[in-house]
Amino acid sequence: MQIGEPVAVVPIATPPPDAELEAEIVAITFKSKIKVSHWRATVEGPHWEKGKESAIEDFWTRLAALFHLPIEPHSKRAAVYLIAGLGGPYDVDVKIRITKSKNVSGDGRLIGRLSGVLVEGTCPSSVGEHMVRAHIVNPPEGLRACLGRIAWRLEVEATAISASLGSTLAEIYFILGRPSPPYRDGGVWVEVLRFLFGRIAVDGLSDRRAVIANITAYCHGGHGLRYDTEHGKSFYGVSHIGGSFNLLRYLLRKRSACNCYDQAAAVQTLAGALGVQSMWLFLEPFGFIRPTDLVGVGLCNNPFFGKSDSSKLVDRHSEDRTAFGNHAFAVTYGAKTVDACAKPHLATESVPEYLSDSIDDARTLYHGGFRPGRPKDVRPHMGVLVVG
Amino acid sequence: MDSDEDPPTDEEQVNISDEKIRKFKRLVGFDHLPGSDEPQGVRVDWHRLPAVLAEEVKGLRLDWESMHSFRTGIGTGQWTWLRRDRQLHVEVFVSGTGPVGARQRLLEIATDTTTVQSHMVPAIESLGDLSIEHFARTGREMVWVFHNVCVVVENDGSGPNVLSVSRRIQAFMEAHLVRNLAVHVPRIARIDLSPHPVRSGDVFSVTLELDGEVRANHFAIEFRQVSWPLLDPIEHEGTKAVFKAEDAGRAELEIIVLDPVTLLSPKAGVVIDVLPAL
Repeated sequence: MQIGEPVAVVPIATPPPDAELEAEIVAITFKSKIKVSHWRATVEGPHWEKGKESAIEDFWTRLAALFHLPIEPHSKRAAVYLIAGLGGPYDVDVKIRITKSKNVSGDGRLIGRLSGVLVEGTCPSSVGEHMVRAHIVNPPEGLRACLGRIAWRLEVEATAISASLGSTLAEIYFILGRPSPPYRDGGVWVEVLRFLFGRIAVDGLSDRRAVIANITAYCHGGHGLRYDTEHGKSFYGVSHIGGSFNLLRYLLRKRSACNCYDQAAAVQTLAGALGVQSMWLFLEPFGFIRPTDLVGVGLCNNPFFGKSDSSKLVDRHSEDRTAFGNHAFAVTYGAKTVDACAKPHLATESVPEYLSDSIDDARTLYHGGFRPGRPKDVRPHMGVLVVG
Repeated sequence: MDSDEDPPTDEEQVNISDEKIRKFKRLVGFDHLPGSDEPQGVRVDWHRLPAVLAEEVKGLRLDWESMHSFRTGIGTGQWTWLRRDRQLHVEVFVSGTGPVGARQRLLEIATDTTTVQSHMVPAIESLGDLSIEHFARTGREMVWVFHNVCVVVENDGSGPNVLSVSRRIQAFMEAHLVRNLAVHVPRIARIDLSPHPVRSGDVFSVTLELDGEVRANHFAIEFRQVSWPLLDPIEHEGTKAVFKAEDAGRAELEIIVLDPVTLLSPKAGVVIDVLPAL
C-alpha cells in the first residue's frame, strides 16, 4: 500500500458503556490419547488447576543441569498430541468461572495462545462455572514443544466485549505418532521429550526419516560415548536382541563407553518417544569393518585395538586386525538403515547397501569358519521393550 | 574361480555365538561348577551396600543408585561413585531361582558381546563360585558369582581398588547366607486371565494372587511384554493389569514380583493365545 492510497475504514466496535465481563480459568485438561509420564508416574488430568500452580511447577533443576538444558519452569503435568493430519483428538477441556457478566449476551469465544498454537471453544457468557469443550484448532505440522504460559481471553462478539483470563502454565508436545512399546504402559517420558527438543535438532521436523537420522547423528557424534574397544559389551543393560534399556542412565551418560546394542537401543527408544518407529536387526557373523568413524574412537578398521597395544587403524591384512563377531542396528521407514555406532548411517541406505559399505568381505581376511555377514543373515528382533 | 577378494562361502561358517559360549564355558569349567542346585543363597538388604563400602569409596560421592528388575527372576542393583576422574561402578544381579540364574547372567556378561571370542578369563584372584576378568588382567574389573548373585565391579582404570571392593562385597554376601533361599522369594500362587479365551479386540485382565500373608504393595510388580503381537496396556494397579488385544497371535508377558530390598523375585510369565475376532 502506498501513502495516500484510499483504505477501507472499519469502525472498531466498542462495548456498551455499562457492559462488564470478568472471568477466570478454573481448570484445564488436555484430552489426548497419548499417555505421558513424569518421573515414571503417568500424568493424570487436570493439567492445571487454579490455586495449585505451584504444585505443578517443575523446575527439574538437577536433571536440567545434567542434561545441559536451561533451567526454566516446566510442568509436572505435560501433555502430548499428534501433529496435524494424524487424526487427533485435539480436545482441551477448560473449566472457567464467569464472575461478572453485566449487559453481556450471547456465547463467548474462549481463546488460548501458546507458541503459535491456538485453543478455541465456545462458552456461555452468563455468570457461573462452565465446562468449555475447546479444541486445538491449528496443531503444528511438525514436531513442536510448546512450553510456557497459555494466554487466555474470552471474547463475546455480540456485545463487543472481551476479558483477559490471565495465563496458565503448560507444557505440550506434538509428535509424529504413537510412542513405541516401551512407553505404552506408563506413558512417554516427559524427561526424554525435553531432552530431545532441548539437545537434538528435531523441532519442526515432520519427515520421520529426518528425525531418526538426526537422533542417530546425535547418538554417534553428540552424546560423547566411546565404543568399548576392550570387550564390545553393553553398558546400559541391553542384550544383542534388545530387552531392557537403562535409558535414563544413557541420557545422563553415567558410563563413558558403549557398544552397538546400546547405540541401537538409544536410537530406537529416543526416536520411539516421538512416534518414529524402527526395527531392531541383529547380524551374526558381521566381519571386518571398512575404515569408518567408530563412535568416540574416530577412523577405525580394528575395533578391538583396546585389547592389546594395537592401533585403531591398521593395515588391511595386519594380524592385529580385529573384527565384529556380530552387530546390532536398526531399520526404519523405507527399509533404510540407521546405525549410531559407526559412520553414522542416517537412513539413506538399504540393508544390503549398508552392509556392503560397512563390511570388508575380502576372502583372505577370513579363516576358521569366520565369514562376513550377509543380508540373509540379518535377523529381526523385538528390540527394546522396557526402559528404566 | 575364487579370488582373494571374493568373500568366503556359507559352508565355511560356524555359529559364532555358540562357538564363543562353548569356548568360554570350557575355559572356565562352567558346566562342572558344583552347587548349582544348592538351596542356600544370599538374602540381604542391598540398600546397605554403600555403607558397607564406605571405607573403599572414601572421597567419592554416590552419583547413581538404582534397584529394579532386570528380567523375571532376576533383580539388579547399580551404584556409581564419582570424584573428578575417579569412579567406581558396582552392579549386582540377584537370582530368585538360585545359582543357575546368576551363573547364566555371568555367562551373558562374558559372551553377549560384539567380539568374535569372549575376552574374559578366570580371574587370578578367586572369589565366590567363579570369578572372571579381562584377559589383559588390567585390574579394572571383576565379575563373579556367589550362590544366587552375580557381581560386577569396575573402576574404569582410575577408581578405588577393584579387588578390595570385591572382597568387601563378597564378605558382605557371605555374612548374609540363608539356608533355604526359596522361602524368602515372593511367591505367585495363581495367575488368572479373564475373560478366557482372549480374542482380538478384547479387553482382558491378568491378575496375580500372591502366596502367603505378604502384601502386594511390598513388591515392585510389573507385567512386561516380551513378544509380538503387542498388547495395548490400559491399566495397571497392584496385582492386576488390563490390556487390549489388538492382533491375533501368541503374546507373552513376563511377570515381575520384585522384593525391592533383597532384589529377590520369582521367575514367572504367562502366554496368551489371542484368537482372531469372531
